[in-house]
Amino acid sequence: MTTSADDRAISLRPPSKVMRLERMGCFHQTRLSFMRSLLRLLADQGWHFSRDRWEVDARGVGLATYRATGPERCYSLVCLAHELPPEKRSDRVIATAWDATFTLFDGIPGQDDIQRLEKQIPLQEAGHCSQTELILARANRSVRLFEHVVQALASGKQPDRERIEQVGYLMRTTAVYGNGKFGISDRERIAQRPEFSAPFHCELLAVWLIRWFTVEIAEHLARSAGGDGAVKMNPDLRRRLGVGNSTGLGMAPFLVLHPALIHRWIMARETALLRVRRLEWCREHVRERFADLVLRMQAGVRKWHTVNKRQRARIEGLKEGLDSLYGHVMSGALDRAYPWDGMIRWSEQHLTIEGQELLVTLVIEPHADLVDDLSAQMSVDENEYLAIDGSMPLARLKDLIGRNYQWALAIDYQEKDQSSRFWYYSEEKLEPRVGERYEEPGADKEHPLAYGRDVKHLARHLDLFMSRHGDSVPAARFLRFHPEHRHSVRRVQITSVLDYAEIRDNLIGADMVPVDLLRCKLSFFGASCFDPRSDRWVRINMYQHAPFPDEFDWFRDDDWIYPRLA
Amino acid sequence: MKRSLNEIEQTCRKAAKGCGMPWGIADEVGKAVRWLHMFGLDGCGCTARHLRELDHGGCIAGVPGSDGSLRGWPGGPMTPMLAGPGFCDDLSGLDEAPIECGPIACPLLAAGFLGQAALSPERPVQVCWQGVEMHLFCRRLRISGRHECLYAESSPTIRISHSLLRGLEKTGKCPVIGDTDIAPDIWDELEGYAYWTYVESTDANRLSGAGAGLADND
Repeated sequence: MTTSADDRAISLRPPSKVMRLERMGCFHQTRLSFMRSLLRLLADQGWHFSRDRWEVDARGVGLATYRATGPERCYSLVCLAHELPPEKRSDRVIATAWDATFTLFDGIPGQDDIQRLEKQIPLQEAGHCSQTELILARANRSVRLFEHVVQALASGKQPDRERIEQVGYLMRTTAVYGNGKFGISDRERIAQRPEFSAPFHCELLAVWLIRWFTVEIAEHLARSAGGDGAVKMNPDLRRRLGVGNSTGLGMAPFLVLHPALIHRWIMARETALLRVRRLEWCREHVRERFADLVLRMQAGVRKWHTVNKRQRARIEGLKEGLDSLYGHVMSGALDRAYPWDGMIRWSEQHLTIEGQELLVTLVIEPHADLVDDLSAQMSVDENEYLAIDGSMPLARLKDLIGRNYQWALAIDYQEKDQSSRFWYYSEEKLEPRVGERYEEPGADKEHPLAYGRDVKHLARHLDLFMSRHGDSVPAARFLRFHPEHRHSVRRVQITSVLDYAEIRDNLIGADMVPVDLLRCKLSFFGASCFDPRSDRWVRINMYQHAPFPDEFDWFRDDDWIYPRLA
Repeated sequence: MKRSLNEIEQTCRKAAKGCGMPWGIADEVGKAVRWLHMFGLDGCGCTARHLRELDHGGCIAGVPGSDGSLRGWPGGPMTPMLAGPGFCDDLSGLDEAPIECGPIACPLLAAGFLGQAALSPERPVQVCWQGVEMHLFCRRLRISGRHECLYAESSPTIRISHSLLRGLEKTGKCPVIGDTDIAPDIWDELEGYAYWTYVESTDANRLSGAGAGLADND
């Protein structure tokens, strides 16, 4: 006789475990990640793709447009290729010139639109777009790879596979803007469209089309240089190219300032895990598929390159962990009752956190029918959580703080190490940065990302206020005297109903590693090949191994992200 | 120049913070102004004028009475940037009694906060000042009465109650999601206030603050 899932106490992993920076910084993509769900949606809806215009000269300067056509609407990626002087080449957000600039246009641009876009899009932040532009982006060629690929193709050869795997992309986006930035369309205007109802699908459609352009411009330059002797890239090699991205601190405030959205993302992932763990038995074909996925992942991890010491150590641990995992599977771990739950419990004893989180990805993967519906639950209107319950008695507010912010109350923010950082926006292109509070100016312009500290401050003031006015006083009255606590009161009320809304770590402590925040968000995008370049920014790859739009009609492996690598 | 709703929200949020409002209030200022523009009302103009007035000491924060109720002060009208969120916090108390207080500066801005907060279509909210009547909930708006007082710089009183108007969900004006023309001088003024939330860029923080060096060419 076997126990039930309830008997085994299989429940959602608690936020105290999941919402820690160290663990969030180990998240991997899952089948719920937005690149994955976007390509599934495009396939399900029968979208098709074409290149409408190619007016690029032999130097690689000019215009190209690509069209994505769906059941109700179509979109155009307008690509503008430029000549970039070496002294202006920078992948920082503060750069002012790029190899290529892009916009995703709502529909098919007319000649008037093109003329306008040719003026505005290369200016990026300094220009101004209109509501027909949905995305604004730019990219630079990879110094390490682009020329090599062009030269090889021009001479009639395929580029070196190892070099392609080492870098993984021909161009790297340095910004992909959506949601009303610099005059482009507000997300609200397109959020009801099925293709864009999930978060970041619009941005990621643009990136997927940009990937197509990066290969076509390399092939074009090869043809210009090599004439008839030039060749196109072999499809298998081409698929090993994604789009690079260097992601800096801009993503960190997003995670903190969208608590309801983050809750939805994490809740979907944790619910998927829970559903799998509650399965009583594992069918034979699923077991085989899972073992195959582990093998594929082993091969993928062997090609995961980074110069970052911390990440390199994690990858080494991961390699060992995957060996152990494969052995565990082969020893019959999936033949027992509640095999997935057993495996997750096993991982907590035998794998590093990086390994545990990769296992979450892997156990979810073979269960499409069980989890894919969760993709539809990953959007939310943050405005629904803006209102403060002003009638809430202060005692209740204090109780909620005690319940959800013990981690923050335990930190002594008077200690320099616990408050040594501050988050700010630079006047320079509004680049988000982290400063050293006790060493540089600007802390008086700190942005509100230190919710742990602020909620602890709120708790102290609540005690004082309640000692004078009683603990049944409503929050509204307290806030009239202390409007400086308004953001914290709202936050406490949000976290009382949304378990995964708060990152339960000190975001201004000396030992905080910002890239952990970035990796969490990027994993939900579906990024791979995390390569931290410092504690504040990370290189990634997007859509590596994914089908290209021009092969989408026949190449639709949903598990493209786990390629069979030689 | 046309501005997206997101640009409007973010710029007004930072402008309010730049003028000394707490972040929690500034967040709601951004939302309130966005809401006003969705209904074709000049929230940016109101915000710029009001922040200018605040900057010049022309109105006060609005001091709560000993019972915590909002009230005006002989020194000048209270700012809608603190009163508006306060009204929102008290919406559940409208069942017992309407809110009536004043004087208040820029009452339209206060209505913006309420428009954002009044989510229930069953219980629309009515905001009145100087003969202006606004019936609102999040996705609908109807304005009647003295339109010439819509943009009043201040009002001796403002009254918030449940609206008795029925059928607002069918007859009220719908929001428009799209960009909107903002006068360049108003926008420049708001950006000027928002600028106070940014840290000056230096060679040192350009290098260390983002941790990427000056170039990360790849």
